[in-house]
Amino acid sequence: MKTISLEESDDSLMIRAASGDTAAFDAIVHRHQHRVQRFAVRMLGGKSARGADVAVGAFLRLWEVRAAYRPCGKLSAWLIRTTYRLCLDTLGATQSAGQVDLSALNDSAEAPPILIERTALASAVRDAVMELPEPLRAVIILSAYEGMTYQQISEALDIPAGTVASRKNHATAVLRRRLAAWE
Amino acid sequence: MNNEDNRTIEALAVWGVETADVSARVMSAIGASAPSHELLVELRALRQEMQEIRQSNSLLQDEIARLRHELIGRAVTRIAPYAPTEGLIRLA
Repeated sequence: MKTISLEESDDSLMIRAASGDTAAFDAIVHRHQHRVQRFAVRMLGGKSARGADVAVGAFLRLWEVRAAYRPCGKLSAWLIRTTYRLCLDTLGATQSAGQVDLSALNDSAEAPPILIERTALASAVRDAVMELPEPLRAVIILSAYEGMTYQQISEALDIPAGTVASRKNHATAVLRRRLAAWE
Repeated sequence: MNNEDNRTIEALAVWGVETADVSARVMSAIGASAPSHELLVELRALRQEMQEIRQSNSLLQDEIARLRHELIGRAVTRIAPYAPTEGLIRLA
């Protein structure tokens, strides 16, 4: 088995994965899994298990299309775009099934006041982000939490950079109003 | 972007999320690795736990049925203001 360098590019690893090198594909998974998962978990309102399922789904999709993948230095964008689509599918299925989110029921009886306040604020932030329509939510998550540039978000979501900027401004204004009580 | 917007973006940081290592799941799904022995042991333990929960649940259901039967089978007592107190249960 050929060794894998930490500096080896995504494209190089994908070329090897396309020829059946599963160690190269494993390296890709290790490199991108946490960003993909964080994005999925936040898109789904903090549901860690479902976010992990979506991340696994995105990597399996990549494995399926490995032979057709064109190395162009944009694997990260492809993964985020695929994850976004899988999240939309999951959200659609969840909303139609009328599922109830029990993850917000935290046992904070023994928590000190500052922790309670932080937990409450975190819940308020989560709820505010979840109330955004999915296109705005995706932009604010990738920008605020993942630190991606407008250009990177534009490539990931396949929308113009100007649209990214306007969606981020819109989302920020909505969040500012929703979180005004916490300032 | 103004200062208020920056403060709003900074406030978002308080919402943290957890991630897990999903590489084993992915590699197993593409056939690159067999499910490890540890996972099988964990699966057996979970099955055993589920079996125990089912048994506990069954005992609880039996107890609920017994209590319900006991309550329904008890003689009816009339509880109304200004009515004779005969037959009423005195609460300690």
